[in-house]
Amino acid sequence: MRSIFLIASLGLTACVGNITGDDDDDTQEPVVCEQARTYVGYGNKTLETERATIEPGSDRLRLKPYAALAAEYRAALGLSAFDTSMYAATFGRPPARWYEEPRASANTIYAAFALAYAGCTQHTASDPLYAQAPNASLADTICRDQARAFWHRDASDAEVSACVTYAVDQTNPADPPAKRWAYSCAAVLSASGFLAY
Amino acid sequence: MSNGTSRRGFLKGAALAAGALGVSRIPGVNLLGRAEAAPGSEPPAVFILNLIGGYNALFGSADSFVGTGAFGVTSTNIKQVGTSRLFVDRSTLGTLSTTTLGKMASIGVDHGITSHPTARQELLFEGTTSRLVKMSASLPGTAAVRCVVIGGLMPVGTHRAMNGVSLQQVRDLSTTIAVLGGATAANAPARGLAADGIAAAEAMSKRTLDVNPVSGKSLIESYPASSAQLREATVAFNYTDLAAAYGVTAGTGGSLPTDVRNTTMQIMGAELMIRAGANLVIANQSGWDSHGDDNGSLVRNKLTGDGTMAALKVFTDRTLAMTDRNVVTVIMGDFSRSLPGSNHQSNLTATVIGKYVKLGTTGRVTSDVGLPSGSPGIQGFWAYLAAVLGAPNAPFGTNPHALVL
Repeated sequence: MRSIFLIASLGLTACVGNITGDDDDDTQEPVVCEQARTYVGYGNKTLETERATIEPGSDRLRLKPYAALAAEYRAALGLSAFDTSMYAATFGRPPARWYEEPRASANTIYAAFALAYAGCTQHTASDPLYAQAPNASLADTICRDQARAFWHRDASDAEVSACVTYAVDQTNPADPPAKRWAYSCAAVLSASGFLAY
Repeated sequence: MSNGTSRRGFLKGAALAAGALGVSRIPGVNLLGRAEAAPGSEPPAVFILNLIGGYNALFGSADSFVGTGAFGVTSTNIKQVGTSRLFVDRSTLGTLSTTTLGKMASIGVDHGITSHPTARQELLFEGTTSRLVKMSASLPGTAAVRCVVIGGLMPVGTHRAMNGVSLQQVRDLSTTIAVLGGATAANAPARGLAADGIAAAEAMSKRTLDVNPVSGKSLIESYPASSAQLREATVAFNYTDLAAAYGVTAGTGGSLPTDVRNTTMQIMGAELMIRAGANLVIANQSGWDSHGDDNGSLVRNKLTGDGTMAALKVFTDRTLAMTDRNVVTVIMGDFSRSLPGSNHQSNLTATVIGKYVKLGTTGRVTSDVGLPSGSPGIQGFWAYLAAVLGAPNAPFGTNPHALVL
């Protein structure tokens, strides 16, 4: 683990703690920045009083906006075109020149899966890689590859296990292999690794 | 879709799915007999039309202003409901069916708040607990999506899940219909496989969501709701008949709209969600901060002009006629409007309609929009709603309003 112990002066703020590139290390000391300035708000209350101290890198998840989804699916699946407009209302496409912070719902999760399945069906239809029915070994490889491609990071063993279990044990053995792979591909694309950033 | 399959296509023309309008089997609710009709005898549901900005007392306490003519009230534009003490505005609430009016009460809410953000927060939250989610979780039912905000406007605050019940937003009815097994696009995933796939996606998201409990809240609550909804029994809808009842017509190309983009669609969508097993649906409508509306024309026109009253009439007629459900309709807002100037009054007179609502009023205001001293506050209002819904164990405490049948 590469750690840098910081007592740094960044402008007016000093921070103490370990900054590490390894997100899985639970033992590191959280970075705490000393406030060099305070701001008094209404009621003579300092604005930073109730600021929560949380782990660096935590609680900053944001959903990709609807407007980005078509390009994201296209890029992830290598498709020349992909239309997400059938679910525009479900995702709540904001009016032109407006932005609305996206929020997930049961319906948007379903819509994401349905879109992913449609895209993955095209993705797996002609690739010989998906001509063989899912088995544990092949699914392990494909799940890892898809996670890396869709999430831009390596999947953990637990995440791969969830993907493999679905592909091998829960897709319909009576379906053609490419269809089964389309379902497992849709599951990877419906995870937060793809839907959020 | 890129393969040419159109969502609009499957809604074109005829019915969305075979089957009679209504629910062949309402997920998660026990259909009890009506031998002893009382709140709690039938699966309950509440629909809340939440008017963001305020709800003028001229609607539910119309006679209060006859003497002064405030808000344009006269002796002829009000309507006494039967022989009760309840007087409503003739051109709006007064247009509801006689049966509906006979199941109406005005409920006084003396919350003492004149600030919009505070009123909205206090009306919907008990500390940090969402009253919406709490009410839904308190009512019978096991449908995966039980607590619903219909349309694009979310209520204020962070409505955290309770006992597996979360507040779920529905913005397009066709997705709900598809999820519940209605007509779907040809290339849609099979429901069971999609349920398992979404559960797998949830498992693949766990590590990320564990470290994002606040920013990832909507995902955390939506994965299980989505997969659970796909595992429910199929619900049969006849969307064509439903749309016809509310006067919703096909647009260009013959497709019936499903996008919840106006009040009529919100109210029709509320009925659809209730038939699908939801027990709480809230529709938020903006634009009710009616400053300067001295003659009340702005709010009267707003309630009738965009079809709200017409849709409410259809909704209340149809839901009160349901023999196997107890559907309560609530119209509320931040507060009543004060005099002079139609500004912020520190109380609210809400309208409640339901089969176990006793005709009457505890929300009759004085000519200057004051409620009687000692009128109950917000908790008492929710306690009343729980009572007319027949919620077990009085989740909001003892009901102080003696207007329950």
